[in-house]
Amino acid sequence: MTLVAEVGVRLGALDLDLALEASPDEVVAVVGPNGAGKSTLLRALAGLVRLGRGRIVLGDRVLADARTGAHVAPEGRRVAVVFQDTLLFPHLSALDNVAYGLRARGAGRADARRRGGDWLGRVGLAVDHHHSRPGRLSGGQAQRVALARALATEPELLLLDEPLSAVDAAAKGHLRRVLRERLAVTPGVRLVVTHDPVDAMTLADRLVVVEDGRVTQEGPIAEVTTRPRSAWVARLVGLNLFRGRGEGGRLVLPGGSALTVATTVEGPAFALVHPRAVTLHRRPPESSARNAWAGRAAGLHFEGDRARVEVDGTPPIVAEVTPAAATELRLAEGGRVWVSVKATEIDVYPG
Amino acid sequence: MKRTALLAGAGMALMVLPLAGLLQRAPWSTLGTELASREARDALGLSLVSSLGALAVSVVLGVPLAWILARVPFPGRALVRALVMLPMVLPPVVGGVALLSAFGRRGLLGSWLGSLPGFPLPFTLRGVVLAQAFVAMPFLVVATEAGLRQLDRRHEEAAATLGARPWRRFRTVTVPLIAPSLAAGAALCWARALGEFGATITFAGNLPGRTRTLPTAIYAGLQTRPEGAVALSLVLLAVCLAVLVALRGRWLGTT
Amino acid sequence: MRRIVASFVAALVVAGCTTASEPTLTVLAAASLAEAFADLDPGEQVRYSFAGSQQLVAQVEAGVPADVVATADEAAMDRLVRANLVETPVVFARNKLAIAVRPGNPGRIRVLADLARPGLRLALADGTVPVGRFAQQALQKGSVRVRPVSLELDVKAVVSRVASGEAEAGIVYATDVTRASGVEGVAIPDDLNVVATYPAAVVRAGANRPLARRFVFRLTGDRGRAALAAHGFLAP
Repeated sequence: MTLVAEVGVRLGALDLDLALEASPDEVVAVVGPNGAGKSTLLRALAGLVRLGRGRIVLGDRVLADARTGAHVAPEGRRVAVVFQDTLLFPHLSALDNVAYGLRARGAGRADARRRGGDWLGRVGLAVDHHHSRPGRLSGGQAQRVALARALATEPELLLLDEPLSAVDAAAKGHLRRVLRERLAVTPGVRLVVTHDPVDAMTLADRLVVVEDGRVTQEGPIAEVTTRPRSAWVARLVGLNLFRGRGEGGRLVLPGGSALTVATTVEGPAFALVHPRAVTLHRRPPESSARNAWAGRAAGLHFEGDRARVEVDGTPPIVAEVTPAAATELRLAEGGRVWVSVKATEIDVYPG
Repeated sequence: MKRTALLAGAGMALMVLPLAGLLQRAPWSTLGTELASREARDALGLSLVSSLGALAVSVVLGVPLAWILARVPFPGRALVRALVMLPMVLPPVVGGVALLSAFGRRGLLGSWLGSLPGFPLPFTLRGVVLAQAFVAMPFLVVATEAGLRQLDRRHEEAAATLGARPWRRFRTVTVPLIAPSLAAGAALCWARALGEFGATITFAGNLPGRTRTLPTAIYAGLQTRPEGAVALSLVLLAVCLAVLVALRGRWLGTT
Repeated sequence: MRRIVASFVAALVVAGCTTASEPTLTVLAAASLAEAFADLDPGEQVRYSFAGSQQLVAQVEAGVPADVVATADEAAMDRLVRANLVETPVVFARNKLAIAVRPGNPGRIRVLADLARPGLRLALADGTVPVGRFAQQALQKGSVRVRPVSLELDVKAVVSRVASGEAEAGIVYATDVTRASGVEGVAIPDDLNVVATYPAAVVRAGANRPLARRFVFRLTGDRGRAALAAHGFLAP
């Protein structure tokens, strides 16, 4: 029951054009910045948006084909969605919400309610909340109900749209665990759309990065995060990513500057630098680091036992130092600072 | 501020004094016997039956109409909406004349359908229902359309993804969610149908026991037996007041 | 804001002034007199208001400004007389009833008894209107039992029902069928017919009673009678 989709949709300013494959063996996370087209992709897979170009095939069934004009309505697809805003029916109790899909498929009221109750138990909603209206549930509880409602229909394709974004920080951790457990045992293709890296890492096995309507990278999580091919992913995982042309022992960056690297790469290439590998100085450094340049401290963020410094220079770079070092350097926003990176600390790979 | 209060006071007086006058003229002591008389009971019964019939017609035809106006863009939609709202501003007698020219014995449609069962319409209870529906249906359509427009359609989308087909979605999600607007529209529609006079008497005529509704009985009775007419007026007044209080300011779909 | 109020008040005053400057009579008259009164030559400025006789009485009782009231019904006028709202009334015309039928008389109605034909759509005026009462009396005289389809609230409505074809026959005044009203008349014999007498009286509360008395006097004069007769009214 594999999903094979080529999705081409034009919606306002968005031009979505990508190909995607997902098998029931792994949970796929679709990540990317806001406005990239992730939700539109989800809506196209669910049948809520018509394809301008492309084809969606689930198992051996064609759900949509722009060339023939075929379009199976959402109610005809076995695709369930867990929406970002839960979209629980406000006039129905939690139980009746979960039973809704079962009744729509022909189950009797008592039977649907019984099965609905089972599902609510599986997502961990206490029994005394089963008859509450959505308005009386907390964000986390409502999201559980939304999950149960989708799972109850036993879909062939389960889509989750930012499932944890509307949940407060305290409940998020717990809910994430519940989600992970349920996703692990749910048969069928499972696709999670999220902009939260922790969600992606926790819930998914494979990552698909969508930016500006296109897939910029995909692959197993470990691979994508250690070898990011887009600034967004790099920022996601908190790394510095540079893109340029390898020439001998240097990576020439757009704008003219170059990084001296330890690995020889020719042609288009990426360079990854961990913020901790960046050293800051108040005066031009005399160290053996082959890469050094001047810049301005554009941003200073203290995060627990670390200080992240955004340095505006050619090229711009993010450094991570101890708060003590930051104080010692008398770093102030806008202040002049020197940056150095050892060639050996730069991870270069072709791109 | 004082000027505003003065003008507001005058406005209120304009609205309240006629009602106060009516209450003052009411035959409180004989109210019971007046309302129990044959004519009163006939008129009341007829009005109730016809107005509920008009409400039913308005719901069956008006809700789909509101749906189309709210959801289906088509050329000339704004014009259709204006036409649907026309009876709200048309003088009711004009409405009656228009109905005659369409459904009267020599009317556009009436002349053709004359021999079919159920036709002709003038002088019958069916005719009363039609006249009342004509003037009252727009209230229902306007309120329902407003409710549909304000609805968050994503709930209907969610229902679709759960496997619900269009009619089930409409029944189980759309209608419950627009129920307040629908109810407000229905209440106003019913009250308007109950109070309808000009179109009813012009189209369906006036025959006690068959087509003499409450307002017609009031008008006819005013000359010869004002006490009876005022008593009946009180009934109509009480019903309309009850409807408006029940709506509690919820007017034509706005929350 | 003040200017708006001031101009509004000024407009009201001007409107009031224009009506007071010329001596105009206000005459309340029964609906059936409409066309005949239009042809009168009253000699002064007259403003007419036509309505059913019961409504006219109600208006005078309520103090609506009027100088002359002319009803189609002596009983109605009696109410005003008893309440001392009018001077002594003068009968200035009479009217008989007739059966109104569609042009060409497709229903072949010849006598009052034909109105009892089953299935015949008969329109009458409501009992609260004089012509309606008279019609009942005529029917009773002829022992004709009818089942009307509608009891209209004024005689014009009865005429228009027959003219439009919604009703096949109606009982109206003879004066209603002599004009181009879209109906033909079938006479009702005198022994079954009911005569309506039209009294006119000067309203005591009127602003210009001498002028009003002149109007009433003219009604019974030669020219008045001629105008009324031309419209089918009988001499008083």
